[in-house]
Amino acid sequence: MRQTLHIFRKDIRHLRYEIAAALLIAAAFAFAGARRARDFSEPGANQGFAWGLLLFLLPLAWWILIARVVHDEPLPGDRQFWVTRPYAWKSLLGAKALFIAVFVHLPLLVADAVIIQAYGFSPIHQLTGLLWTQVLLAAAFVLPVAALSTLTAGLLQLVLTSLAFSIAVLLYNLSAPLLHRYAFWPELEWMRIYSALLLVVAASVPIIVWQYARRKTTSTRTIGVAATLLVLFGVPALPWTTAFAIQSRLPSKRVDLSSIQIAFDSNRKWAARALFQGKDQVRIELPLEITGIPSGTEVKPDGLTVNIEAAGVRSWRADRTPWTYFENEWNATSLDTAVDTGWYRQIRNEPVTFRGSLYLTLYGDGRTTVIPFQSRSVLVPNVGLCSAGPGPGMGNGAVFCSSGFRPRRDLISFSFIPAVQDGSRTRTGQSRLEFLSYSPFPAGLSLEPVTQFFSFNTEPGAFAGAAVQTLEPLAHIRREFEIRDIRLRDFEVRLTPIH
Amino acid sequence: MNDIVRTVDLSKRFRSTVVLDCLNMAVPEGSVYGLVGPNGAGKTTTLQILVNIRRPSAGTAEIFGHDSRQMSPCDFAQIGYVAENQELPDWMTVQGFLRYLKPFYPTWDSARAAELLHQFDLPPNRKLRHLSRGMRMKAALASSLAYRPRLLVLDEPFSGLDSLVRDELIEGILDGAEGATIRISSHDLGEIESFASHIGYLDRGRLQFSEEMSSLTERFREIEIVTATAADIPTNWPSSWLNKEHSDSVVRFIDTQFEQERTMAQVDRLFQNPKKSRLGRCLCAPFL
Repeated sequence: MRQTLHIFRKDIRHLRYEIAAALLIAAAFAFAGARRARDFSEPGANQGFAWGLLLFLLPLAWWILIARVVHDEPLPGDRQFWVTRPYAWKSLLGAKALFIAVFVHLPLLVADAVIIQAYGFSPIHQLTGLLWTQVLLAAAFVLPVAALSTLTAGLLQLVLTSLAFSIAVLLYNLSAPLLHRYAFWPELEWMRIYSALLLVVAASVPIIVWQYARRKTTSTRTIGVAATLLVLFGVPALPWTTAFAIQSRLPSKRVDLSSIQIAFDSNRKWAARALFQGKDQVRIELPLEITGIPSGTEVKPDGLTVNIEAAGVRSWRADRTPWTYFENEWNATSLDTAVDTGWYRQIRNEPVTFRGSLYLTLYGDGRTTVIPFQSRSVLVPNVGLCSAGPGPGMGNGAVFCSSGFRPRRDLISFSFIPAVQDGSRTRTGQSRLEFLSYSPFPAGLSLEPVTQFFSFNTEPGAFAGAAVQTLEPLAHIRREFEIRDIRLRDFEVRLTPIH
Repeated sequence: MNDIVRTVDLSKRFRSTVVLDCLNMAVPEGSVYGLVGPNGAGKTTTLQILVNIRRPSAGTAEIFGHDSRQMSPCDFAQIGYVAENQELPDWMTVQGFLRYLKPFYPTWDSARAAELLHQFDLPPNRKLRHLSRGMRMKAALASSLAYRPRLLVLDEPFSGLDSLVRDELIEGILDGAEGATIRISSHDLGEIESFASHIGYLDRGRLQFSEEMSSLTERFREIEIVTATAADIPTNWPSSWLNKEHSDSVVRFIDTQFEQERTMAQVDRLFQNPKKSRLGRCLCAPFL
């Protein structure tokens, strides 16, 4: 421990200017973040250039700080004085870890606490979010930067390596959509992020420990390159269906789901169609009916896979990105896929079978919180702090909510309560927030500790308040379905231009 | 005498290039062992393996009886290592550097450190980056002598230094490392022959010989023969005669296995009626 502190003190002496700069930026981040809380009721007004700049400068300052402290005792090479001195590698590693904890992690922890306090959250109540942010900071930033620094002998080498790495990622990102390899998974994206982080941690920790213990730069660089390739090519290869299967195995509330069934929705037969799209494709839409949903719950489809089968013809399979094969509007769900015109012509007169799986999330435990207009912020469970008011420049009513750390998991609906309620005036301006995340973790991968969202109502009239309704995800399930004897020709639609 | 450094079949290869080939050598405690050889002979690699900067491809190197790969901070607390082009923390002052190193060494002698600063005429408040090459070597040496190491490993310490600085360093080494074993490498034997007690000669990764200086100087003789007539150059030279030169009636060579009677008999056999023979004691740098 004495040696650890001795090296730590030396690093502070040497890097005092870099430390001062990083602390100054962290302080500015805390100040600006707290100030954003004050401007909270004016969404848009607080998305200033300064805040954006700080979100760029803070990681940059940390990046420099981590690189400089690791490079103070560079690991690759054979000329550094310290390798033949009585350094204990654990003490050296401990000194570097202590430095990063004190000058990177601790300032962010304090800044986050200051910001959420300014928004009206209690840092104690948000402790899991605060701490999980630290874990994510370590996994997504500190460990990979530190690992890269242990593999390079100086800042220039690190910059060049980072540039090469960034160019590789950029090229990959540019080419991936062309290769159909990468598609954004709305609610399940967190699983891909955490898979990547797991790989990053699994590579970074051995690289750092091995470098400090043995200084085997060639071997550790190989691990680094392999991990990078795995993150770039392995993580996007994770099938969506596997991600959903993992999600459904995570602890959830006990709900009897046995009654849920999927069938062809004969009441919406009109919505079924085989629509010719140009010469090459026919878009097939088939309305689905989800029955047996437990009372007090709602289902939201997340994905669909299907095989369209006909006798004597090879089947058509749609499953690559399952969430693209359905349409969902309010409570109406339809299978939605495009097939080759050539294949379609072979089966259009035949009775075909649709055999597949619908992936659903069941929401329940609904709660409604009423927020009086122009009152103080009200705590809305699973959402955060919300306030309601006239909303300057945005119609007659607006609800502003701020959420600490955790990405939204609940379905959130807003409505506005008229000042005078009679038979003709009921709640209006109903809206629902999309883009959820099923992540079970208490914080997301963002430097901003608080996310803000709002809803407003442009209808005329005075409002007494707003109601925020939340529905919690209870379970994620997969239901098989089989729809037989559909003759697609019966639903054929050929659109012709109107002259 | 105990061997403080020992290598057994030590080999090192970088891909297909063999840098060290089955090196077997021992350095007795208290000796000043000079490892000499031409550039690229493997001297630096040998020393780097000894202090665990590099790992051997095969064989073992031991210091204080411990495998060099397993050396602990306690072992390093007894070793001083100074090498040309060693990277020092340039942002530190000379005094700051010594002050920083002090807690690492239980045997650090502050008075000795101050004395070394004075002896080497080192400016205590000057940053290491502002020191000349010679001064940096002195600072590195001072930082390696202040804790009275049991073993001092010096890799080409005099390379590129003027003779004045070199003499100062040698004096410093001899004064400061009293009782220590010194392992020094150089491509120029002339630099170290004045104070080395043992010499090992390394060539293309192979140890050609390793022995005490006294026996070496006995064994190596420069022989010059003057003949009455222009010498007939013999073809069947003994293999131990090296660096053979001639000019009209003068022939000169170095016998590496000198024994007076045997050598003179060989001379008589090869050269008809040598007019005069001159035998010079020589452990000459040009040869090595």
